[in-house]
Amino acid sequence: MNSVSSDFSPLFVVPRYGEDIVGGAEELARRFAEELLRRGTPVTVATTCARDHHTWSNHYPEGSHLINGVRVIRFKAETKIADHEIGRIGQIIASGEKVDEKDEKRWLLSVVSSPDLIEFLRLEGRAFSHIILLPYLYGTTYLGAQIYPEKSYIIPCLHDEPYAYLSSVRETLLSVKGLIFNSNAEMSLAKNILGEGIQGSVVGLGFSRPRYDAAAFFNRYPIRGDFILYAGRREEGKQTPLLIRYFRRYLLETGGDLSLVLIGSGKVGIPYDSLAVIHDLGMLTQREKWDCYAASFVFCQPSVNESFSIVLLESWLCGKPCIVNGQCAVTADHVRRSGGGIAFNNYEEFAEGLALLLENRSLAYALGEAGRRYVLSEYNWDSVIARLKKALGVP
Amino acid sequence: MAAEMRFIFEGSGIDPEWLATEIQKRVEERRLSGLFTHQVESKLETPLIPDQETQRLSPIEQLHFSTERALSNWEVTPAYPIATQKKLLAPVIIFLKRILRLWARIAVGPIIRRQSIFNRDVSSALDAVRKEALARKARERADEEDLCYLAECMTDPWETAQFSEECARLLKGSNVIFILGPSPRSLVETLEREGANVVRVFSSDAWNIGGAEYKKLREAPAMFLERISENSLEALVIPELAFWLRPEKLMRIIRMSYLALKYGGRIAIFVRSFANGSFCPWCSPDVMVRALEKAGFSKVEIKSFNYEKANKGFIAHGQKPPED
Repeated sequence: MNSVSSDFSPLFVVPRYGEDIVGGAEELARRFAEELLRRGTPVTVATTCARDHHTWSNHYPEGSHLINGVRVIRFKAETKIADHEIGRIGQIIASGEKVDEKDEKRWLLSVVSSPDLIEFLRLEGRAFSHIILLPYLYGTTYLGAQIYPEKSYIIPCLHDEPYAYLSSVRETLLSVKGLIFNSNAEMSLAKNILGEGIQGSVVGLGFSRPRYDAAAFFNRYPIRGDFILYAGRREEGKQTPLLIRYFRRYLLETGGDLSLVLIGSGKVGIPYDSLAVIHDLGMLTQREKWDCYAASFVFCQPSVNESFSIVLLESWLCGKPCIVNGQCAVTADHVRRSGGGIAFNNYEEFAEGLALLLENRSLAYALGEAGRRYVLSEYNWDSVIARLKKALGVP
Repeated sequence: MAAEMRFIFEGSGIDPEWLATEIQKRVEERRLSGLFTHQVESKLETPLIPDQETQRLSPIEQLHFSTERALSNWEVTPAYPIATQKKLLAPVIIFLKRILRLWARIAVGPIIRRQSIFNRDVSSALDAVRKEALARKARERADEEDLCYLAECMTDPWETAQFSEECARLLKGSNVIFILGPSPRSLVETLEREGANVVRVFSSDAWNIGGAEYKKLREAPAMFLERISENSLEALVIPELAFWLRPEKLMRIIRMSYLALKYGGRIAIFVRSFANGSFCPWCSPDVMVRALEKAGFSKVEIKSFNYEKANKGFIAHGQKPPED
């Protein structure tokens, strides 16, 4: 196990934090904080009281808390996300059109920010050896990075989306000491947007061997037979509706013995004629989630907005083959490097990939095992912490 | 089921390039076969159902449909755009309309807020009822599938030759025969040999391994009968294993079978004895005759036979009376 030197005392700044938060950047911050603490590093997290990224309403109490041993300081979140004008600017940005810099900044700070958190950084930031901010989009990162840029690092969790091309975002990402990427594909995207000369390195996230019990899942839930699993936020941006559409079409064409199970947060629109074959299990506990991965036949990640895809790697840890959207550079790269799944670019490839796995169980098994080997060799905690130390310049 | 392809696994896993090529090959084959059509796309759109037509949905579908609509429309809002078609007087008219709206908000605002709160509460309650109904339905279905699995475990597919021959004789002349629940492979083969088009209604495909490819519908027996239109089936074969250990299921399945069969349609229920030759109390020949007659079947007969290992069995056979 890599130990970390005693003068290493990082502060993570993330807009939401907690065990019940669903979100890649938030999960990444929590796991890093907990792993570093386990290795003897004093870790602090500065975050807001928000839990829901749609409303950013203050849910948790303010103040200092211990979450799995990690010191977490929560500050009141401020948002104007419901403001009509902010919504209008957001829509223009999301459509890929240009807005002037003033509107850009106004929007960026209005989604979510926290003056108290920024004040805390100003007053207490000196005490920390490194300030690690994530993800790239929010006011906490935009303002937070300006206070001690010489010791600030951003884990941008960058997606190829219009927000990534905002001049304020570019300015922020180029102002800090270093960028930490989750995957090679994400770093390539950053180079495309920011230029080849960026200071950054790929670290990723570490995983330990999980404990799971597929039988427990079937005993717990009224689901039988093979099923495709989707885990994560259920929303348009994550392409959940696309998966539902493809799955329904697949059943319509083949009449296959297959269900679709969706777990995670967010609202999911299940067509009324598919209630018997599409199961929405909502939020599961950690134990239930691992059991669910293990019970599934195949995992599907339809999203194109991924900077790492924790759920994809978790399903591989359970030895499950994966079907990913080929238009997402990150997940397609994982699949190419691991040989642990299939990438689809349209419905036909989705259907044929799925049929191929269903007809050839040995192939499905081999893909799942290749994925498992990939995660354990590339993303074990020892390697990841060593890469993180190198990226932060910690001896 | 297509025969499993042989793969050679080397090194750290499958070659992704090879896999992509394999899928492209299959996609091309399917395209050439004409299987992918844009007609399917049109079936995928969730049908928009006019209010007066929600009656044709099943109660649970209707509950789901209405809840979705209520959850997305519970908030009463007066924020509609103010406009006018009178171009010259537009500024004045819009100003007056704004004044009117302001006045109306003062007067109606509290009512709107209370209505919104009421709508929100009703929507939440509907959502809770829907979740409960869906969970119950899913549990029922899983119970049936588990029952079929258990039943399958105690069935020897090779010891039912006599039963299969007898079934084929009794149902001769039926064009399409539905088999509900776990069924031995020999039964399907025998019925097909006699020229019938056989459809298995069962979730497991365990008996297909190494055998012929049968048509299947993934549906638990009672659930299938609930969904099928009345007077639509010619012939039904039900192994008693579909309701094994569940006496309440016996009557339910027989009653629903009666409704599902066409007038003059035939039913055959196969019952096996325990190893000592006795029958499960609610599956004895007398009980089976009475159950079929109670549900309305006529010409109910019992055909008994012995097969290997000194086990006994019988087929309870009946007909839905022809329409008057």
